[in-house]
Amino acid sequence: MRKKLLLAVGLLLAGLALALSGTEVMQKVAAQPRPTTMHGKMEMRLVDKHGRELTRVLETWSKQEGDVEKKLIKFLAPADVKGTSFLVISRNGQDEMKLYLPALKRVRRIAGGQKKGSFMGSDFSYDDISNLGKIEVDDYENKLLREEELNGAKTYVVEARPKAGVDSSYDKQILWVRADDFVPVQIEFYQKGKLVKVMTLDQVQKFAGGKYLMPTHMVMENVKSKHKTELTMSDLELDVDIPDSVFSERFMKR
Amino acid sequence: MEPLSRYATKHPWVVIAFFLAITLALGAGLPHLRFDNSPESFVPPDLPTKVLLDEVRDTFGGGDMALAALEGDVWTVPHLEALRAITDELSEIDGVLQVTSLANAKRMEEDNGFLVVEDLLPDDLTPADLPRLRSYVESEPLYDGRLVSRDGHYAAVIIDVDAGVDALAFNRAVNKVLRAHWDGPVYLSGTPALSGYILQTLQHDLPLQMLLAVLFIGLVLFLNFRSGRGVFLPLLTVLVALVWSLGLGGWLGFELGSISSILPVVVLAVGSSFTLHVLNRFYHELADARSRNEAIILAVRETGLGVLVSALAAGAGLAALYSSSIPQIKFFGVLAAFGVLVAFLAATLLAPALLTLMKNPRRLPDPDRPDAISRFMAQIAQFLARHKVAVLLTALLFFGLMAFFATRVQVETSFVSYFPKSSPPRVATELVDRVFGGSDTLTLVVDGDLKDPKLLEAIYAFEQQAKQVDGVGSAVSIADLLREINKALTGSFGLPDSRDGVAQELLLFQMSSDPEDLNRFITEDASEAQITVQLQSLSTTRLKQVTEELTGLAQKLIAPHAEKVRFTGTSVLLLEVMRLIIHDQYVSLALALVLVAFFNALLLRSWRIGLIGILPLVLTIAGQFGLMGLLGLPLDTATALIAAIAIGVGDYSVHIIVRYLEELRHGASPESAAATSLRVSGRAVFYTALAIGGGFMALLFSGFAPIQTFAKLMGFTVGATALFALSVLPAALLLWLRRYQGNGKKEAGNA
Repeated sequence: MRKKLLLAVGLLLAGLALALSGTEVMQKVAAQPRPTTMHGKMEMRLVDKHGRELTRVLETWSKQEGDVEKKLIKFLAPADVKGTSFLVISRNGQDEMKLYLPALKRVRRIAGGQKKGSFMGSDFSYDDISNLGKIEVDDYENKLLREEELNGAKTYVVEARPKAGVDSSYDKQILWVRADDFVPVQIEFYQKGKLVKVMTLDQVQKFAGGKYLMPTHMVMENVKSKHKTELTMSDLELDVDIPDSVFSERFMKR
Repeated sequence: MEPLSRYATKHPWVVIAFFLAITLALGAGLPHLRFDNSPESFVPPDLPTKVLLDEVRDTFGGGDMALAALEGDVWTVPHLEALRAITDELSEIDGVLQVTSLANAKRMEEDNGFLVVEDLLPDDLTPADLPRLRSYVESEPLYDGRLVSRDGHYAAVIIDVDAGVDALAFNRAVNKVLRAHWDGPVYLSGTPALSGYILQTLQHDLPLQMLLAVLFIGLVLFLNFRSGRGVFLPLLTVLVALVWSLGLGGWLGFELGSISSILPVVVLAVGSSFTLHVLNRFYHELADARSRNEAIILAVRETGLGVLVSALAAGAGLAALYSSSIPQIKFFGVLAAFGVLVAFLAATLLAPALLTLMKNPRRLPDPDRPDAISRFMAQIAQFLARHKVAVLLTALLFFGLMAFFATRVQVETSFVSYFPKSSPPRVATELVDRVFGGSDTLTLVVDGDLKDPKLLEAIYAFEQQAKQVDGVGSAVSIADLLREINKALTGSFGLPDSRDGVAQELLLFQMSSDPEDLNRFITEDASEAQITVQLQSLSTTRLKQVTEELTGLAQKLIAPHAEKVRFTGTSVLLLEVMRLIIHDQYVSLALALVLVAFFNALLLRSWRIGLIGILPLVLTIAGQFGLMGLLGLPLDTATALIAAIAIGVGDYSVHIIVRYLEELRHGASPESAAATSLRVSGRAVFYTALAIGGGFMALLFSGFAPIQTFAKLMGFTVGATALFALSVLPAALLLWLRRYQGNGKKEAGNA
């Protein structure tokens, strides 16, 4: 009953917009402009179910040039991991990863297969983070489930299932996509039919005079362990010039 | 007592309706009766070790450990794939927190200049991968001998199970998964698995034991009365008592465990003696040519006092178990005491009401025609009159001797000791002990700066020394994990030499797995860590020594670098249970004896009688413990009850005393009073002992070793109490109670 009512109201208000299919919604999400470079700080707050927490601060640089994506992450805090840095250079989907641990004073090459692993020891995986930046719409079967009001904003609720042959960490994702600007604000991740994680993107800011919409605060909660990670972005600089020397072993050790 | 029995003969239907109504009301609680035999059912919830264990489980997300050993050549593709399927499916079972096996182990090593952190088993496993996998696993102290046996013939699946899990359902589900995928033999051990086996045995044993008890008691009743109603009436009264007591347990939400499962047999055996006494007297009165109703009233009046005293004593002995700190024993005590008192009510109300409605039996025993047993009793009486002092001195000697042997009694609380040697759970546990170093765990909680390399080195040193202790399988902590990471990073096992190094390696580990994986070893803020020590299934005595040794090591090695080191774990909990059992023994024993003496004294109106009356009990209890010490039978959760139950079943003395006093009051000499008492009441005591003993023999068919031991001891107990009641007691009466004492009250028989 409530669904029907919502649907009727949605029809009235949204008019043609309702005609969107799940795939169209996701295409609009993917069509959002992305900056070519990005530099900023990321605060990562890890909280366990008892409320015990740990905060890490990282500085990140990233650059997209054609099929090559470069990313450098450096820990600023806590003091005992300060200087630990992580470099990823992706060429046509092939990742080259390097790690520098200051205590060992050595750069180590890391083998691939990390994508499903934890991003910097958080509840986010590498996949979760990189899918924020770009979504391969064609890899998924997208289905519009319903429209619904979430935190005062109208959203499309889309179910995305990876197509056969696509390597994905999850067998289903449900996304709440804001109808007005096509920014996903909540994502549920399912494995073996069970909800495992929920991500909320509760702060989305405009940059470069409204050209870019970037999430600046997001929370990922592990449903089973009740462990959660809060990411807060700050000092974001978009489309600034970042020299290639940043993505090097020398810079890692600096 | 008399007004009640009068009422029962006048309005039998009212009494029957009353019993029927309550039986139906309480009986409706039977389906609510639940079973639970988790370690928690033995442990008081506010015990400090228990509180710490709950805290540790909460902090590190662990539970109880179960371990499945799978037999077969592990290093083949089909077996590793089966292991993968098993690992996946076990994780889906209710109450399973985590499953660890080769199938989800990680490979972390230096490979062609790359640091590799990935799943050990590749998604597309081929025979070509096997040699590399095997040599890697054999070089990993965390895996070799833990997840796969050193000879490669057994794979281990370690299952972390929520402590509150339904053990029976868990066992069923796990066995189903194992059998579906593994073609060789499988062995399941560990506390959750043993709890499951225990519950399984329990539900199988309970109906069987009740049936056997009814059969044995019925047989003895038939031997005594040689009539259908002599069998039917006592059995009916105890079945009513059983329904009331189990039904009440159901309504109150009590849970039966391995120990409390003896409840039905206790109620059946103890309760049946009450109606036996009443009925015996009824037949005697009928034979004396009384009318039916007169005979009923007289029977209740004359035996009523004795039955009341023994019911109160039995109730007190059992209710004294309520002082136990062990939840399961507490519930058992309350329900058994209630059941016994109901059996008493049924014997003095329901049985008379039913008798009123029945025709008189055609054949009556001749009270003056002595049978073999009463003739034998008369001979005893003659012997006692001449040798009373010698008998008492022998009793004293017996007491001293048994008290000496009692000091040798060993305590045993380990779950595996429940099972006979060749039973599957025992075989599985012994195999897992031998191949994988055990499925019991002990946890050390270390508080301090866990990034301090000195503390980590100390923890590692502790683990190395702990592994040398006989009975310890392995020890795992954050220190081992760090050594692995360090090896992958630098090529050699070792711990980082600085706080920063530790922090950075921990970060690397967190980056290469789920963040909560690290939380199983150490808290997010690195202020608390747990060391999991794997133990073989040890006897309680050995476990105590091992725990003491480990405590010593931890104090010497870890404590100087940490803020706090604490021990906990299921095995430590069971050690606490042992301490409580011993402590409870003294309390409940003393309490029960005082209560029995008190009831005897109160109802027979003399302290001297009260004290003489408990003589057979004191001797029997000394005998029980002496026998346990002599034969090496352990004091465990079941045998801990025997003293209390001895008091419940064994208060025959009161019938002898009541009759002796009755005769004295009528002016008989002490010698002839003792002779009459033995001849008349002695016969009833003999059959009561036989009925109760027969009832307890049903427990010999239990699937649990402690219950079997208990049944054997009860055999001794019933016999010994009867023997002492028929020998030492009359001797004591002859020596110390030669004049009628009852505060001048003439109708001592009329309570």
